Amino acid sequence: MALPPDLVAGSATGSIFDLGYRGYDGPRLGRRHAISSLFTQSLKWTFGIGRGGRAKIAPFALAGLTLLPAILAVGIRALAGQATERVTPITPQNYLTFVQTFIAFFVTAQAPELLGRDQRHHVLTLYFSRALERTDYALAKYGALVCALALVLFVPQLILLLGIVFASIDLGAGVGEALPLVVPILVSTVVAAAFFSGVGLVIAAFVPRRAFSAGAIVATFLVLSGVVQVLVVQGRLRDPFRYVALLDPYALLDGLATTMFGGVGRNATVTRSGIDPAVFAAGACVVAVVTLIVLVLRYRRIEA
Amino acid sequence: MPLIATENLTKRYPGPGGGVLALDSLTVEIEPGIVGLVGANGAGKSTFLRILLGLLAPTSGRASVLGLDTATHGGRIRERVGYMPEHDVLPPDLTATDLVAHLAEMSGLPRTAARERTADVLRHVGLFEERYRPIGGYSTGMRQRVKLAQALVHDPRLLLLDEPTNGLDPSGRDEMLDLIRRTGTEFGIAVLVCSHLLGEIERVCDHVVAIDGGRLLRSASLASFTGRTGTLIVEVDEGADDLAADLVVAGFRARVDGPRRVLVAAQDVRPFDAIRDAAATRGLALIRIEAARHRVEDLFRDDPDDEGADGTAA
Repeated sequence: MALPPDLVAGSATGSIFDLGYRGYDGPRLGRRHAISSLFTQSLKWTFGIGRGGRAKIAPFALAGLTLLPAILAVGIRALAGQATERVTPITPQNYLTFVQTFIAFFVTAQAPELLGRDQRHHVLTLYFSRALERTDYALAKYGALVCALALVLFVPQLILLLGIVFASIDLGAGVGEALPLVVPILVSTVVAAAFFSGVGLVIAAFVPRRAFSAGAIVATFLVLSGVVQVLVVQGRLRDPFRYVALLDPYALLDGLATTMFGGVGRNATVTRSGIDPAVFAAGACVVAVVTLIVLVLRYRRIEA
Repeated sequence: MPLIATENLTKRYPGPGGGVLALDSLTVEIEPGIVGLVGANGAGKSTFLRILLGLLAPTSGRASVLGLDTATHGGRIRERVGYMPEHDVLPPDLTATDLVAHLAEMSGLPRTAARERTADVLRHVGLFEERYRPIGGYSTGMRQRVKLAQALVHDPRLLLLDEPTNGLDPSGRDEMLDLIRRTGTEFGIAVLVCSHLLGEIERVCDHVVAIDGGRLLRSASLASFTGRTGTLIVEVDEGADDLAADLVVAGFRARVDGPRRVLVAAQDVRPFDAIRDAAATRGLALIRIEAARHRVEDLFRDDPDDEGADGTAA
């Protein structure tokens, strides 16, 4: 009784048409596969891949903006030669704090994208009625944003490192200069990506409406850092109160970079609070872990 | 082993005044086949499905699906069960192909198998070229098909369908019911269909579980719900009076029921020939002869000890 599919496809009203149902006897990879494929798919979606042209604009524009300083720095170095080596404003040591606003904007744009849609359109029901568990969903989304952000930040730092190696008069000296920076770059980037992503995802998980969650995230990063800095710098805070400095996300980032690379931080909240930068670095790690826990708990209870 | 078994299953949603009792000591065993779960809106159907999937914990009592306890083996149950929720659950910016393939992987299918199954299943539910367009532009009928496709894509052993014909026009509803019927009969997938529309349950299911106010009203085969009443309904284009008169003359009990319908008592097959002959002699256009049956509605209408029915019969 079955007509060829082309005949039916062309008809004006779509019709449910039997072309025979085939069962599936192949492998079922279960929960573990579900997690890894949700992770990779979400990572792609973070860059708008598979979600249409407009979804690509924000992530790629911001990735481009974080790349620009590194390219400029390497270019200046190459053109001006050794003489300006110490003058170049952007180095691997201060790169993360230099692009901190772009990091904040990347999270602002992509954290609501990753979580809000599934909540707004009740897609969670379809996820949670499958092999995937609720905790898996939270872990995969967190992992995806951390990886995406780390990727966006690694590439420019890699360019900076290569710039150091190849702009040096002798290659051996260049490598000698670049090599000790590799581990600090890896650690500081991963921790920074984790704590910025964690904050953004927790806010997005509790505020499904995109515009509101984006506003809340941007406020957390920009307004909170501004207010805290004013308090710390102008307020002459006494002992227990000066620890409000730890609420400044940019101060955490600066403390993290200073701890990993040594030297003196640029962030006034850190320097004026008189607190050891290592405490800020530890604060960044704590925020990364706590936000992950909050995210998991949120998805255990969320209605779906 | 029954497909689904529950024992004193109770679910109370917290809220003011003791909350809402959605399921009230429901004990039922459901065997494989196409089973209709029928009840008014708010009778506890959706709650029942969500407990079976392990998405919701019962307040007390227990349930098992495919021989697995929902409290302890929710994950394994969900791997082999397909669920079509009642409400809109589709992200508008993905295409049907991308969404269904992604969800197939969420059920544990490898990537290539997920893609193949997606193409198969979308064609099976009747989505063709439009499956490459974003779901945001789909009609209600197409959305329902996508929802059915995502429930079928991992070739489940049991399909849980919550109001699958919601929002469909009559022809879309016919197609959906037909598809459900075939899924259950030809492909060996057990189906539990929830509906508040008794007519749909009658058309599709072998077995009916009726719940009302969270309590089991009755669980029995459709045949026992809708046994023949021993009456034939004869429909003609015109001349119902003449036909009835002829049949009475021929010695049958017949009466006119509306301008074009005649009811004929039939204890055996003799009336069929008599009706045909009478219609032929008179030159009447005979449209159909149908055995009148009890209807599932009667269950809700006539149940004498139906305490929980107040206000639930929407």
